[in-house]
Amino acid sequence: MKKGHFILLIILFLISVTSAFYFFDIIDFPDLKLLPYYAGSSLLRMGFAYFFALCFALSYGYFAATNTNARKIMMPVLDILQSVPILGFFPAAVLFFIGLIPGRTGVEFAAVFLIFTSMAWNMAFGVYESLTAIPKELVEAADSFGLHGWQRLESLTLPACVPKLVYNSIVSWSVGWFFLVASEIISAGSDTYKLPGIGSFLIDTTYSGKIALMLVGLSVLVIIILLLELFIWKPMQSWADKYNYEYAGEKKPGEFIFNMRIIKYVFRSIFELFSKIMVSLYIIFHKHKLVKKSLKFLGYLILISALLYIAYIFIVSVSKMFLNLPDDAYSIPLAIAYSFLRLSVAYVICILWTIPAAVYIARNKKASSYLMPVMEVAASIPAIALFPAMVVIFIRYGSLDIAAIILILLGMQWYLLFNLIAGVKSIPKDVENVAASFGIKRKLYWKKVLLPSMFPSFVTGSITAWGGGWNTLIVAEYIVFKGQEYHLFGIGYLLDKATFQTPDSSMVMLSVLGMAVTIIFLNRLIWQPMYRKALAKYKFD
Amino acid sequence: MIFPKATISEIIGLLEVVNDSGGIEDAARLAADFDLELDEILPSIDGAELLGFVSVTDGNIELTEDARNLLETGIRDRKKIIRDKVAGVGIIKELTSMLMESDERKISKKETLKFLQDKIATADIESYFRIIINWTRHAGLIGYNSDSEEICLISK
Amino acid sequence: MLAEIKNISKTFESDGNKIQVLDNINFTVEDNDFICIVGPSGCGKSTLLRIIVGLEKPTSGEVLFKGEVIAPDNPKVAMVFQNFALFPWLTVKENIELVLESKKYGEEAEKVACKYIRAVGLDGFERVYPRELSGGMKQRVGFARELAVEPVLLCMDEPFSSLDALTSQNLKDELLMLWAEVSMPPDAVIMVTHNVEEAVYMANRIIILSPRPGKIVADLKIELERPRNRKDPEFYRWVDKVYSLIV
Repeated sequence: MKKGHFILLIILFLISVTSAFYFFDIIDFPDLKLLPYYAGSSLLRMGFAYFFALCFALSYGYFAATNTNARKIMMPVLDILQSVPILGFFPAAVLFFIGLIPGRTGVEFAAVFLIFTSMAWNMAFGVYESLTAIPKELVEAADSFGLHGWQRLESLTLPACVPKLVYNSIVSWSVGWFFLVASEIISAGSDTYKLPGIGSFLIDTTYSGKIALMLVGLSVLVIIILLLELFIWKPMQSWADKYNYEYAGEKKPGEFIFNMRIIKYVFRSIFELFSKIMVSLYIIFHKHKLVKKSLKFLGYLILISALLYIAYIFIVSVSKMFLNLPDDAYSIPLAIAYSFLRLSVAYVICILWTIPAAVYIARNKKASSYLMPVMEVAASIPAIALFPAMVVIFIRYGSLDIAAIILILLGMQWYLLFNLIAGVKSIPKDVENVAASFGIKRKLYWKKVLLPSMFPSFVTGSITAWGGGWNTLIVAEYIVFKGQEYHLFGIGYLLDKATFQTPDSSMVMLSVLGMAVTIIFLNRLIWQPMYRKALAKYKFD
Repeated sequence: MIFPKATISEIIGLLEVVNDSGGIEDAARLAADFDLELDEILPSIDGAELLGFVSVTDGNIELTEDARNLLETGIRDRKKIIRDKVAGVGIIKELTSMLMESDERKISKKETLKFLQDKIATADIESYFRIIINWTRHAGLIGYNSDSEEICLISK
Repeated sequence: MLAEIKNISKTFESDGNKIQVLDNINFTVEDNDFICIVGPSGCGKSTLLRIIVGLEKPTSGEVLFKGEVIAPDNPKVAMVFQNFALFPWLTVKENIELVLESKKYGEEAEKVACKYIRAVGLDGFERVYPRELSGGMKQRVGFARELAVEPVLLCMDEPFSSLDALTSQNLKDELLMLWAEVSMPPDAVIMVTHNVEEAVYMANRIIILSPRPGKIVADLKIELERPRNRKDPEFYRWVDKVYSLIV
């Protein structure tokens, strides 16, 4: 059975269960009938956020890749943006958008903005990386054929971005779902804003203790995610492989369940339309000097005013903070330490189970054909959606700490698992043959052959896993269930408390700052050196 | 100054091939025989000449007495001959004496690259560094530790 | 008689299509044989070698080594790979010691490793990582590693094909020098190559395979004095002869 068919089977099962609830009034709950509307609104939010993220990624990446001076500022900024836990900034963003456009529209903007921030950075990195990785000969060939302006953009620049952009889009969407759930119920100050959507449905049903309904909502969410996977991302991947000059011929095209020409055709047309828009913008930008100049001027104006605004907020809040430091501020370092401990425990558990599992799955064809789809389905469920259920179980039968650690585990483990599986699969066959022909087995094989070959994928997996972990933390340490509030002491709790319970903007600022500093510090001190080492020493030629 | 970008293996390979032709061979013929561009084979010829294994006149490559001795011996003795020859190359002599005078007989890669850059004007000094280390390692004279990024004398 | 290749056939299956790559291969390997297996690409010569070493199972037939069915981790049979297959995180010496450790040489490992490092002229390179080595040096590590287990039969899968012409010339000569030394391990060598000149230069026996499915077309004894000289007219006659059998 093909993997695609297996996923299709799961979808059909979920659809039948869900529609049973929907049509036969098994539970009386008025919102149930609105589920399709909720699902649609959520999807629309994701779509808008993705569109803006795509535009941002292309322009930011293009500018950073082509302008060496701008790059020096743009890339570190992107790096920091990527490592800052976005959820922490959310209340501020909501207040800003509501101030700008009052009412629901403002809240919608805020939600889209939050999802956008979870999608955009890694895509921008993707564009930047692919543009800088265009082989020199290709650039020279383009030069020698006199490809300039729109021709160059259409034949060289945009196609070069396609493979990475598609791959990073998939990652972005799965992160995006997580933030969607977080963004549809927004508390800012004393007000709570609720947007109709699948995320708010999930949270509503669990907080009021209607677990069966929550499960229905969850399966709707999973159905949407899986359908997108089958009908958008898989075909898109196989379409994108055409643009891959690196692995031409080596890589298998993405798996298709249905060889649908229409889908391919749709992608091509969308891509062509998109490139036409980009191209015409480019032409306007480059051909008309006046437009070019005024655009440049406008760009600088926006940049400067944004910088001034940030500086102003920074000075005001810093002075406010230090004049009147909230009592909680002194507990921030300890809270970070507590949270870090929780993350570490989850991470260790992650390592313990994913390494043997990855080796088993990668080596065992039969097991992988059944396990991989199940894992992919499981991984597609945003961890945040499971938290309420977890709380219910652990409030009764255990400690909240265990629930939080399991939740963090859910937010971390898939990144590590999938990276490791890919790592094991990419070990060159000859290297395996050496081990086999010299009888290198068991302990020696693991120590000297298998574990070192997995090291690069282990590092990349760990970096993304920790990123996911920090974000999960924010929802894992504080929860309201059936009107009652449960929490664990940690930086996530401090942040949530300052946001929801006793609104305090300087505490929000300080918590986020503390977290960001910790993350950047960890990245510089641990992950970056490890990544460099992995590349230099552990990569096969 | 230009330093030939050929490894010791390539240079010995060249000597063996010329020896097959009776100890003297035309460079162009050689290139044609091996389906190599002249540009590809030139560094090996330059390297062999620098080490005193061939003399080149009018495009004819002729083995020297030292080259014949080298080819007649086994792998172990070849290494000795190469050690003597490589030790005599000007730039490597300078490096060796620099190492002798330095503290702990070690010099950082950065410093070495700077030294080489002064001698060899090129944008790609890194590849010359690799070739020179290939020679000196082969000869058992100077080694390079990629973890500490230092070159050092190999003690015998 | 060292090894016996008996009635080997191999069929691969992909998408329901059966592709036969080897058809009833029979030959024996004697002491002091230096066998080169040549043939056009796709004739299954690499597959045959992998079957001989035990890395792959034949569809039918068997390989007997000293009268017993071959196992992949037989220490008496070693394999040299085209792309070196060195571990990037281990130094030259560690790469060699690794294959010894599994044979439980214990503290002997270091001594044996050093012996073969010297034998292939790699002394001075002990603590160097593979990525810093030129292609020729990498394959020397490959040779030292396979020799270190002191195999009776050494199998090589196009060991020179990813090296440049001059380097491969140097390595071929050095390999033949090692081969000529009686104290050095392998009693017999089987090498796969697509280069006829290389085969005539190295081998004392050439087995020619036909295009897919591979069948033995000829099994030639090369009666040429060593050291051989490629400019020698006699050498050319042999090259011609092999070519005429392939085409």
